[in-house]
Amino acid sequence: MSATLIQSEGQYYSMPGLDQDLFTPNLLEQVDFIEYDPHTLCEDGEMYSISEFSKSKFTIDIIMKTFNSSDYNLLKKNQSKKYILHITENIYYFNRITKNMIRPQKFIGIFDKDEYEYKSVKNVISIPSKPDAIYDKEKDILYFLKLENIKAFFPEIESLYREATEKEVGDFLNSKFIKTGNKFKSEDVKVLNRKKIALNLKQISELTEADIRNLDDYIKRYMHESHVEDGKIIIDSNKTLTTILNALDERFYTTELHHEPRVANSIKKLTV
Amino acid sequence: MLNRILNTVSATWIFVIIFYVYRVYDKNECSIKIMHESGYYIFNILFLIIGTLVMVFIPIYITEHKITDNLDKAKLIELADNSFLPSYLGYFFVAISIDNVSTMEIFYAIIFIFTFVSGVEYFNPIFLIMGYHIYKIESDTGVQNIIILKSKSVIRNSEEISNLKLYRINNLTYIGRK
Repeated sequence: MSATLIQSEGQYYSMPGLDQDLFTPNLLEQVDFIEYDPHTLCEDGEMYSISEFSKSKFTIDIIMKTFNSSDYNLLKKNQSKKYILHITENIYYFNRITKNMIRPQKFIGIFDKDEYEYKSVKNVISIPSKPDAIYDKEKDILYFLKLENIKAFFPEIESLYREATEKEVGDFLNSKFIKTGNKFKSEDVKVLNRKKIALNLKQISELTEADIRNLDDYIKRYMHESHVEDGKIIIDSNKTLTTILNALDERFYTTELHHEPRVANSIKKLTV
Repeated sequence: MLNRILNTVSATWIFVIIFYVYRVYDKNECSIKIMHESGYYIFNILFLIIGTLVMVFIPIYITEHKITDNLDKAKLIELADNSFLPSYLGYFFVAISIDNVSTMEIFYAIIFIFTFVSGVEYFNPIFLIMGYHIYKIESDTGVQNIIILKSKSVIRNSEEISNLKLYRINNLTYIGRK
């Protein structure tokens, strides 16, 4: 037996009478999971997972309490709808309701006698085949595809892959071994670089002179350009910043068999 | 909407029945004379029959309805039969103190409107006859519900409430079997 709830303005409301499964029941058996790590990208056919989710600081009330569908008031047609929560057999499916999903849907109806008709359906919410997030209450694991999409359900979760604050970017650019050139300011730093700075804060703060020299050699080997002058790294553009940050995270490498130089887009630590 | 109207009729129709029954038996007035009083003989008979059918069959229909909700755990339970019965008996007293059919119709309309708006339109002694009891149950998460429940014996311990499958009658009222 399933229940469908809509979150509207901070509260859940029940949609009565919907007792079919909204999403394919054995969705979780068709994908592989990788524990979430902001350095690792998710491939097709994979989903991120976070284990022991109810003990983490991102958890929300409704997955911790006993679920009684009778606890929630009935949804009125005109209420604003933020997201759907569909619960069936202790598995919670979360899905955002985007403007696209509630727009009137247009179909071409195909009838028996080779007749066709244009149909436009209003007042519907279209359901995607894969939900944004799935929580398995018995195993206490949260599964999801994209971190940006689930912050509507778990407000704090963006801190797992966040952008560096103005202060952190400023501190980075003003730190001992960095010198900015070409009037490059912290406001110029683009989103992806801000995220990389946030991930590598620890490494940045622990740099030594020897590290700078090694970094310079490392970058020269792969990018054939030098960004170090007088023992300081010169950053004059976002492109340079990306190179430096990639080098700090040691993303440049050469393959074993064919000696091809590469930069890694996604890393997964091996634990053997 | 139609559901709510039918439920309200079902809960309040006893008023009309008591009115006619009292007039026929106590005041020894001929039943045909009363019907003639408001001038529409056939209409009255028809209304009476339809109303009585609604009163008896709506509760039966509700108890056979599909399950829509579940209640897994409860914290507090309170038997509420006794709080509804007096207001139901109130209908009897008002019905027997009315003199003519037009007054009865006006009073019935008022009672109907109040019952409809208040949200207690589900209360009907037919449920009690079928073996159901009305409980006020507070769920594990602290939410109040009114549940019309059928069980082998009256439930007095909230721990006996677990995994109930219910049909939702209105925003806070449910009906089901244990």
